[in-house]
Amino acid sequence: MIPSILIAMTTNAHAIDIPHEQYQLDNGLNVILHEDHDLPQVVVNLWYGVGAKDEQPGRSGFAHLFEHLMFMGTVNLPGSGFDERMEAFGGWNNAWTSEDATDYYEAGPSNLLETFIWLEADRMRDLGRAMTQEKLDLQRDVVRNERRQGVEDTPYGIVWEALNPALYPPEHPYGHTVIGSHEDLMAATLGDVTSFFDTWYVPNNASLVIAGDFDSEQAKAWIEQYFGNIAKKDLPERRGVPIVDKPVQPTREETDNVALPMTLMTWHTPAAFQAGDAGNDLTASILGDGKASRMYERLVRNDKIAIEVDVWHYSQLLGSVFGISAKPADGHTVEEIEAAVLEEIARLAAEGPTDAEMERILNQTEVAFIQGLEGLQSRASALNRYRYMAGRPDFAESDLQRYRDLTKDDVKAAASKLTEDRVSRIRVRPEKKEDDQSQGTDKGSDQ
Amino acid sequence: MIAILLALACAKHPDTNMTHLTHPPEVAPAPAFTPVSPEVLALSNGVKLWYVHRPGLPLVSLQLVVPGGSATDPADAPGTASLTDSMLLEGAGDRTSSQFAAESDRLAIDISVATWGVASLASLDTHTDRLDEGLALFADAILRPRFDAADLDRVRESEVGDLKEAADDPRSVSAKVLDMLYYGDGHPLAHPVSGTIAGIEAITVEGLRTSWSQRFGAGHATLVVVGDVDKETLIAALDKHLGSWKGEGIQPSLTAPERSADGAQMYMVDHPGTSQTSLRVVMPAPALGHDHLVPAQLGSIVLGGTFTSRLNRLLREEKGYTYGARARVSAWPSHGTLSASTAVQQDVSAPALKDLLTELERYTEGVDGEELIKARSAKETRTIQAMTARSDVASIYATLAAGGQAPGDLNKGLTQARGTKIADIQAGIQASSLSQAVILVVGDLSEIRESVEAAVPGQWTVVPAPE
Repeated sequence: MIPSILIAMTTNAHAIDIPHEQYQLDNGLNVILHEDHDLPQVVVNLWYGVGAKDEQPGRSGFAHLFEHLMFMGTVNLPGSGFDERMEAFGGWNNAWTSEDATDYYEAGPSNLLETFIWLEADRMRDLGRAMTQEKLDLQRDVVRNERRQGVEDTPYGIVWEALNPALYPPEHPYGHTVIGSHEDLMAATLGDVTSFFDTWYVPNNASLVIAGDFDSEQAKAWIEQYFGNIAKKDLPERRGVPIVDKPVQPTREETDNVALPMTLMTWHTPAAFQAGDAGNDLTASILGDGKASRMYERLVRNDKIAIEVDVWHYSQLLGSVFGISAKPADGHTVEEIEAAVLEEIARLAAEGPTDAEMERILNQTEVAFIQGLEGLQSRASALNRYRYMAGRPDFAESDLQRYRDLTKDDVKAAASKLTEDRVSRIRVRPEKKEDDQSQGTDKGSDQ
Repeated sequence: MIAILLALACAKHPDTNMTHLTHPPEVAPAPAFTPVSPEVLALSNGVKLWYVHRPGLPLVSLQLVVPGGSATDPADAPGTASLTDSMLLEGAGDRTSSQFAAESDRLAIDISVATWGVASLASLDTHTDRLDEGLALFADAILRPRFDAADLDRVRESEVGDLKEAADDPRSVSAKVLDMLYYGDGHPLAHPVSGTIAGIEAITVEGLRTSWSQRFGAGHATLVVVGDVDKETLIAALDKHLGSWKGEGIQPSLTAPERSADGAQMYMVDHPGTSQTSLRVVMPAPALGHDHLVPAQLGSIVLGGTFTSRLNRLLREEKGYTYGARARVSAWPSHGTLSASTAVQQDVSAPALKDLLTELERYTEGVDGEELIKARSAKETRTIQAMTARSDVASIYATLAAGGQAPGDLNKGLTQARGTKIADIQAGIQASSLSQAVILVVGDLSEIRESVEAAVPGQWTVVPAPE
């Protein structure tokens, strides 16, 4: 039995490894195999190197819409056969789309592995042949309902709608949302679907991870048998990426059907796994992880101007985003919060983190790495994510080492770039209701 | 030349007619599986311990199950148990709230408390090397919470903020109102676990102390521990930190809600400005321990437990009305419920509700053989996957403990599912009748009321949204 994760004890740290084998088919499909025989289960993760960043102008939301269409059947297995076939034997699946990639995964008992491989190969081979206007219209409706549920009817959903347009110019690959606009979703045509499939859903733009209770030699035979004869194609040139360092909209005012105001402050940061990326992760943790963090102590406990604060760093292929959101306490304003946030960041940039903060963050990071690689699905996903974002699937240990190598100066350097002249503020204020005599709790709305 | 190329291609794939590409492969028999079963032990003070040794990664996951939950809330202060549980982590022992958080972060341990209707689940996730320090902090939270007034004010304001946000979310409103209507005034499960704004604002430090002392007694607590720690080390550490814990705890007395069989009760809540309408239906189902529960759970998987379930297939994949529709059975020792829910675009609220109710009617006719196999397979897979991560294993057994079940009930349920027949599901479904249901529609009534009332005639009652 091959242990699912090897953890080598060193003097004071753990080395993390996910044992695997990587190879490529002649058609360019990347394959990563990770055996783990602890339980009779398998996971298949098929990662396509295409996301919302690759959408054409006027087609925002298309990569995600296409993800939905991948479940609408093929000539060999029409209708909802993809789901029915695997669910009949205990399998299940899902998928997600981001700015950078689209990821499909299946999980189930180990006797379903050949079926999973066949199903993924079948739709990669000729989904386009079975595509119809009816399927497009149906999934367009579903996606528009996903948008209604996740954006329009979710409190503060408008913030996430406004984020990318506030940070990036429209021509930037990240200049629109992943979910897209109703208008663009409605504009998508059958021709767009087949063209997108022919362009991006090719073996040389995909990586297949198989993880779990299987025999590698048998899996290789099935992969060759089912994927081997799918033709590779030349991939198009990617869109140029304008350099952006400052937001398009320094301040954006929105209203929403909410009771409390909120501010979201964001900054451009370096791309995933590039210099400065890990430093920003650490900075976000120091500022916002937990109720002992600097922002919680300052805004909520001491100044009592906010009831909650959230700090995050979202790493992406073409450039990342650092974000801080907070809701004001009764009688206080988003403007007060924004001023205090900038003060705290400036203090961190000037003084740097304390020894205790560095110890805390490194302990948390080490444990998070171990916990994150415990689940079979998370390991399968990590192998593909590292391969796509960092260039190699065996990057887990190197990734952890990035954080171990960070110094206080790295945190100071990251914090020093989170300045007022580079910030985008999205302020959400409650909609005024006809029967509502109050102005909410945000004095700023009166100014 | 073409012939040669074809020959080469065929050499790679002996199946010359290519049927291996056009037909899905046969599926081999499912692998044998038996879930890991905890060893049942006890601490020196009698606290029950369910223990699973899981080496391989230096992680330990612990869950402490304490009966009680929001069902013990005072009538004039709904949300007391939830707020009390939150306050356990806001300073304990010698540490202030800030110091408690800092120490927890320094150790990279995760302590949290979840409040359910009939139980609270306090969890500790830690690196094995820091188990002893983590348990010390965990024991402080459970045994020696401070409940400082200033911390209560801060946490209360945050909780009120969360409740205001939830009031802006039609799906959250819908879930809360449904319980209020189904259980009725005075039932312990009628109010939201998170309480109401008025309830949260009425809670005092004394109220927190009372709620904590009533519920957090060693006499009825169960610890579930899964991880990289041997039994002797674990018991010694638990006895060291929790061995002094004494006391009994109150157990809420639950009864099945009284449901008339005279026909479904139908309600609407106005939520102006929403682009979707939330549709929910709840009706009776078998109680925990009832022979019909497992078949009813399998039936609910057919109805709304997977992507190809009847509801999701109809409302999403055939009609495109929604992003998703689901159904599930929940069970307590006194009763069970079958609930179905979806959120549909506003302009199809009426036909979607009609479709939903038609499917629920059809459901009482039973399931077919393929559906039964699918449901059994889904339950098997979910159990296998719940055995992967230590925290998941701890959670699945903690859930059993919270329902007053034994560790062996997990495998017992799996074995029963494997042997369940169509007739068994038919019997399990019989407890769920639309005539005893509560039907709730939450949306912009100025846009949907007329069409909904026309599509589903009957006595509709408009109820106010909760605060």
